[in-house]
Amino acid sequence: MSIANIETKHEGGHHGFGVDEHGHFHHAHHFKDAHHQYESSKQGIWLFMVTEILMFGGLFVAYAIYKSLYAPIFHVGSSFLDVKWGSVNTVILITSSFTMALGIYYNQTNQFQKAVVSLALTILCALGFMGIKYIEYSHKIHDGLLPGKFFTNKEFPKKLSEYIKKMEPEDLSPQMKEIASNPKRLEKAAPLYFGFYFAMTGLHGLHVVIGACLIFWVMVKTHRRRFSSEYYTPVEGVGIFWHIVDLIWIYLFPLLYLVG
Amino acid sequence: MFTLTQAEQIQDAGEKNYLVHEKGLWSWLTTVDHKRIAIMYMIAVLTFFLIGGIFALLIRLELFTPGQTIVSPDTYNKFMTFHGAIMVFMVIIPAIPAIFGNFVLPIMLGAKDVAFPRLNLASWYIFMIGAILAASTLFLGGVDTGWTFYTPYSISTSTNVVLTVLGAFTMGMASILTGLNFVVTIHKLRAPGQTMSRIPLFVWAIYATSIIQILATPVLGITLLLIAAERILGVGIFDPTLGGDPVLFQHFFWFYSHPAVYIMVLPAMGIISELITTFSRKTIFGYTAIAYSSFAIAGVSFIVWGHHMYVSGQSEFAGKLFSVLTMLVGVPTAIKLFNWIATMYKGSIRLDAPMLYAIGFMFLFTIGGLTGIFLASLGMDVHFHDTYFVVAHFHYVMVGGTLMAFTGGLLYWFPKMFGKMTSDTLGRISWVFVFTGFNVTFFPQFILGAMGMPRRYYDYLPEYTSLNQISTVGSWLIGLGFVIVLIAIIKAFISGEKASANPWGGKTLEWKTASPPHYENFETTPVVTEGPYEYR
Amino acid sequence: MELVLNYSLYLISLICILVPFFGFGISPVLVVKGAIGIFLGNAYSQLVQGKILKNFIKEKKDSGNKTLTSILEPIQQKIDEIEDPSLVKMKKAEHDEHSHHVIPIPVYVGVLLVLLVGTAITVWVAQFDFGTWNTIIAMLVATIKASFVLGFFMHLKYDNMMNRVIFMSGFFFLLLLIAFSAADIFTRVNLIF
Repeated sequence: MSIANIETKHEGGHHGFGVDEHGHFHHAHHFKDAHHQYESSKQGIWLFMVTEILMFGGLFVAYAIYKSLYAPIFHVGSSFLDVKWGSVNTVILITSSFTMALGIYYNQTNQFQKAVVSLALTILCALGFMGIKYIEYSHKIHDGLLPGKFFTNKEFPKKLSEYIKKMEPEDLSPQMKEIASNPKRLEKAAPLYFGFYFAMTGLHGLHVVIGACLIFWVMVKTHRRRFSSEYYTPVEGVGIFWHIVDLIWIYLFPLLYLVG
Repeated sequence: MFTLTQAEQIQDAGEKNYLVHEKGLWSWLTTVDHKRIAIMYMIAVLTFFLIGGIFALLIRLELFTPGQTIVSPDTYNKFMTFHGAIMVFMVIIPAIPAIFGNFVLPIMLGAKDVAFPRLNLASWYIFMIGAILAASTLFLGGVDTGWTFYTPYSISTSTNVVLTVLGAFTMGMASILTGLNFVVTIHKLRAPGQTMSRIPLFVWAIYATSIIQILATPVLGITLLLIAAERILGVGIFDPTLGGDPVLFQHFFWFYSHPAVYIMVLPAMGIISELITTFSRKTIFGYTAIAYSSFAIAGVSFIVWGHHMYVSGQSEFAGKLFSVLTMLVGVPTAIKLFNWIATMYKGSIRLDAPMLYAIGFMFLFTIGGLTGIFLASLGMDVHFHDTYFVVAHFHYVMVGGTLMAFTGGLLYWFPKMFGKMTSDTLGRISWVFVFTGFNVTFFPQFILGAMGMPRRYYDYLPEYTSLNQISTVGSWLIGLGFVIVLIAIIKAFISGEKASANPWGGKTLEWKTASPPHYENFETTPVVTEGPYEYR
Repeated sequence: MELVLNYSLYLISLICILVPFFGFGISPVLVVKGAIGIFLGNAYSQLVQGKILKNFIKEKKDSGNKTLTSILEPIQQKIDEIEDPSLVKMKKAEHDEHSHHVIPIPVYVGVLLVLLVGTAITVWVAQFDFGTWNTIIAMLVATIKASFVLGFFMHLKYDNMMNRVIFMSGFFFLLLLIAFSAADIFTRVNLIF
């Protein structure tokens, strides 16, 4: 079962990375065949997705811990977010996931023009998402609802102290009680929510931008007919990345906007 | 074990060996050959080792006398941070996986390359960018937080923390991609007949290491990004004045950094398995146990991180929890050690230089590991935390452990990588200096720690002076030992005897290729019919 | 000897995983049941997948022990069917090229609708105050949405087991991070006078 001849008849150069002018795919030499390469690439992509989950997951863990310790701060904080924009963004991302899946489908079935259109629509959705993010962020900046030392909003500390007064003492964690007992500390701790808001949505937004660039790259390659039903692994890989970005938002949206 | 005849398999690769197959610097910088990438990592890592080592010597020089000896306190803090950060992120974590993993693993599996060769090259570039980012702080005033970047000091200090953490983040990315590459290679690129129970133990060790790299490093990534966010935006997650919890930083940091120390040591143990079996000319005792114990160590490593935080403000319950769990990691480690000893028993032992390093590992790592149990115990750690006892412990496992295994592996695989034999005499002399010097440097530190000398301190009480001076002299001996290793390597390049394909009589697949190997590793794909250590 | 090591490693990992839950007061009975379950599962896999049962039957057959063989063989066959239904399919598939599973568009549209409905439900429920249940419901709906994205858009339903294991392991380790951090933070004794 040995592969006797290492030197092959076609050029060494681009094996394993695209379909040639005749629409044929030549797999990379260190793999047995195209299927072997496909399965290996998929496994590599999933392993990378695990790292993305763990990275964002760290933020979610910190968020969860602080939310249960400082529930009033997070409750009041999320009341400053616009659920309307958040919901629109959710719908946009879900739709973009759909169009991305279509993009892969059309590559799998050799319908390249439709594939390009689907991928273009996905990028459009991504841009729409970033546009709404821009609107949300500019509102926050205008209202002074920024992390840490840049926080200048006056309404927030007022709302926070009112909310805490209405709460039963046993519903507050010891850490919250300690901070609430000192008005100066309360004022300084208030922006903690927005620290999380900007860190989480910011990192997510960065991944949306990166995803959009990657989708653009595969869209161009699809347009140049570098993929086919024999080889579309990069499209699928970018698709999996894009769906992870969507997945993260699926969890981010309720946590930040709805259940504060 | 092989389907080709003896004559066919041990030919010289001649013009087709990977070192000369393509020529010129550009061919190296754009190579996707895992062997060349391994050499590039080796040059980088050995350079960083030299720099980190110089910082170590400077630290020990300063500690030669109490009070100021050669530098100011602030500079000393920067030296100790650089020594730690460079050695951890730029030397010990990448060393064995990126150098020997890259070079030897695909060959041991009978593959032509790793699963994603271009990604492999990208990993190297990402690593170098991260290293340059972090090292650039050398010229921009340095960092003085200690390599652990504890908050709140790392948030408020005026030194270049952001640049360093970005550098560490980038190097972490390289680590993840390398681990990912290895996992897919091990899953998908084994030669025909190469079942999981026939792969060498070095491969099992790298497998466990790669899984840790993939799962733990992202959490370090986010933690480092959060430090940067705290410094730039004042986010407040770890700052107590803003409602944050500095202990949470430590949870996040050590969630990576504890498994990271197993990234450092598991590949080393893999090398020892290879060395012991080759130089005892005997099948490894308990192959399955050693293979599974790598995974057991990797698994347990994820649930013990709180033992770094017993006195930081962690709750007592958590402290007890982590203490119990940490004790467990000794079990799989001991399984390995006893299996190695059982392998040597009634074997035909040759005390060549690599074997001396392997035996040195077994002795020094045992001491390091046992003192780890002292530190795992909650009650004892209250006294030992942040003293020189801890410093001695981790140097015993990392230097006495990983670095000795690294040097042993270097001398073992050097003929394979470069086609030349190193002088065994020089190797053995270097071992004498390294082993002796190491004990002279670090054993007194156990005593210093027990006597109460704190770590990371620039100054100390006069009663600690004599032990500190002994320790400093020891550091010169270690330095000399590694210089001798360097001399041995240079001498081998210049006038080393030509190496045959299998100078040590090993049985794993890399010894079936020429030295240096063909650029595609094997002339024809091997078919594996028996286990990796069949000495009969 | 290997079995002994095997079982001791299982025991150790069992203790490791369950100790944090002990702290939160999960009943020891549950733990014991879990442990027995794992041992039985392991024994099954060793006997069956390790071919111990198969070889035992073969031995008995060769040595002419009719009764034992007639009892055990049907059991082995049943197990084979459960373990490897694809054995039959594999023989056929050898001739096909490895064809990649393509999910038809209507399925994608269906998933899109499910996701949109899920979003609407989440937003609607958030209007009411159910206390902690709000978070639980929101996370539940999010997880259902996530499984649809993972299963269909990301093809995991039709993919091999390894990719699923790989992905879920990420969540498992995240669980470790939060379990142990929480074990510290929520057991702190705060001395406020």
